[in-house]
Amino acid sequence: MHEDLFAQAEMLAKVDARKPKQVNLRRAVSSAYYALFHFLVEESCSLIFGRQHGQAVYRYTLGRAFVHNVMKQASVSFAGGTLKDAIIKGLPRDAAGKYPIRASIREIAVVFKELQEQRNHADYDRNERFERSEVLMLIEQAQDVIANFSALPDSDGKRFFLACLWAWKELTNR
Amino acid sequence: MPLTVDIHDALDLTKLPVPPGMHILKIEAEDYTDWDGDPALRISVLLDDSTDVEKIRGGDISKFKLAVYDNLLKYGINLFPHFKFAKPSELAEEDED
Repeated sequence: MHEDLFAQAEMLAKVDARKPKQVNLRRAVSSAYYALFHFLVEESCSLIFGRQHGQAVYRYTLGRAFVHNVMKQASVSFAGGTLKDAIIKGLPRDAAGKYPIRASIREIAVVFKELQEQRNHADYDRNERFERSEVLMLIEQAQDVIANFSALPDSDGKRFFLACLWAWKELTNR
Repeated sequence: MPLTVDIHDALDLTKLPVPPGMHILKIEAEDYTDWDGDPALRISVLLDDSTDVEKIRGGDISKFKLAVYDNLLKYGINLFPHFKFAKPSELAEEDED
């Protein structure tokens, strides 16, 4: 699904030959955000239900439970490269005593936070204007971070990030 | 949070991995409140019209943004940077609206 949403975003960003219509740029931003959102939800749900076609209905059902704001809060923490001690208690640390977060995870977390912010403005804030150059770069960047994240070998660190996208609120409240 | 000299140091283009092909005329930071009301930064980047954004690799954009973010953190500025890119020609179009 995320590939189709990216294709739609790119098409909308380029559809106007000269001066782009704001409505097309806004929808492009929104489509790019949902491409990344659905990618992360699918990845996260695949941890629990697997990736088989026959398991898709379970993944899609569980996917409805994901909360944009919770995903954002988790992403902000991972994007910053440091998680609070209370969260990583018992988890492996690097030589500096920090929980190691791979660059590919930080990058996808940064783009998720940034795209969600842009999507809120795109959908609800008519004072905000969008330029074609920034929208095309956001789409390219979002596609790139997905490719890098997908190429990242399966690891506990990758799984922990994906699990945090739905468990973050409860994890931080304890 | 008032903008400090440290923020300007964090945005020093000579020390940042500017993506190949990205010609930056100006980069500025201003206080920003994000959609959820959290304090953040808005980083406005003015690109030269000669910049062909479709030739800039997404990975290079990520490295640039992450370097800015890491610089801010290094200076103790724990604010998420939201980037806004634009070209002079695009801003001129806005003025016509």
